[in-house]
Amino acid sequence: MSVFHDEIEIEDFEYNEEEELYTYPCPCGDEFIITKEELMEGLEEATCPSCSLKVKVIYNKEMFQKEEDLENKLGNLSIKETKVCN
Amino acid sequence: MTQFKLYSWGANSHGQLGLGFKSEQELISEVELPLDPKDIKEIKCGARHSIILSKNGEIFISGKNELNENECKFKRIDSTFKFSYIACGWDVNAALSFSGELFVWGNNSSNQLGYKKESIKFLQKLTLPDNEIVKSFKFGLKYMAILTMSNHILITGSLRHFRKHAENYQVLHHNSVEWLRVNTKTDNDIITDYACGQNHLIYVIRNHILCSIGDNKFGQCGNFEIPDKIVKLESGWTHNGFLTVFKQLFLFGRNNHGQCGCKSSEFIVEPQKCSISPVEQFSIGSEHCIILSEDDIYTFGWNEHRNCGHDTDDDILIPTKLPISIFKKQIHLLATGAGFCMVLLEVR
Repeated sequence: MSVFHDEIEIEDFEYNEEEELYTYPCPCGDEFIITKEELMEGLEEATCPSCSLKVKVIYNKEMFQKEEDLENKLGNLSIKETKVCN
Repeated sequence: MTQFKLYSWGANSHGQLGLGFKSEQELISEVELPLDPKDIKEIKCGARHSIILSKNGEIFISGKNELNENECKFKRIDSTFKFSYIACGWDVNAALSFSGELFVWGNNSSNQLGYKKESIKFLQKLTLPDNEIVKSFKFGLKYMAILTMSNHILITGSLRHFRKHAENYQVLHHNSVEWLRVNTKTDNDIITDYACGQNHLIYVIRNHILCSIGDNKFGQCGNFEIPDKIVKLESGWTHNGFLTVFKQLFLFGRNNHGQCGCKSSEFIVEPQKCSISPVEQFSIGSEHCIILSEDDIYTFGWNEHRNCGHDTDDDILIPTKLPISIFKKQIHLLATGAGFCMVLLEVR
């Protein structure tokens, strides 16, 4: 069981739309990172690539789960559309 | 004959130590400068950059910043202005010109520079709500605090942690962003110092009364009356230190890495006197501290990046003397960044 440096609410993270990841400053000067995909899977550990510290992300898992469902639906929809075009 | 030398150590991922290269971490190293070290007035350190103010008002930066990308050596910034005071936050900066104008630059994703835009890549002049006049300014992790000549502290940036707890503030709107104005109880409550942590702000009234607002998860927000006059106050992310006129240093807040300089518990809820005395100067990084006592420098706290200057990645739980003979000299300035330190020494 890992010991978290802190528990940080998702609202305090910054979202990078291009890379689809959430970041929060780490005391070492680098950043704690967790991807949107990891959050949709229900994971809650954001890690820092430069040091051993990690934080627990506090967020509404249901909200991210709903977003994943929506993305899946949209994904299926676009496949169907492609078939129609063919 | 004496000469001054600047030394740095700790995390160097973005050239913040000013050594001319990037590396994961460095032990105590001398910094080559484009100015004579004796002309340094102030050193301030952020997360991945450091900033120097010279006595003649010029600014030099090393490390990742919005003005000169990824410089690993201190380089002078081009400006027609000269400056008398600087502040450095995580990835943000502010400087006061000789004529009293406030300039800001850096990351602005939380509106911590008082404007509504992603980042500011040039020295942007900032005016204050109600035309208040700047006295001094400091940065928390995602906010800026400004003490004004009218004895108010104005806060801009990420305000959610202050909203949760603060009772005595007003919300203001200026430059399309929200500001909080921290009010004191009476007009006689002169704010004599203040310091900014991760999500808390602590300030001193009439040199004796400590007041805090913001997040208090680790006991970092305390309200105490201190019998001796407080001459200096600083904060790490979640711990604070203040120096009294009798050169005694007191620390409180989070202590899970020994950042309060004692082994007693993970949280120090009441100010605890540091075992080293007298303390001449001190500076607090995100999770570590550096203090000067007579001719010796001591460090303690989180040391994973050798930010305490000791060659181990274990936490330094009690104030531990730096085992370097070069420090048996007169120290001029101490500064701490997120995971690193800088000291300016006068070497005989």
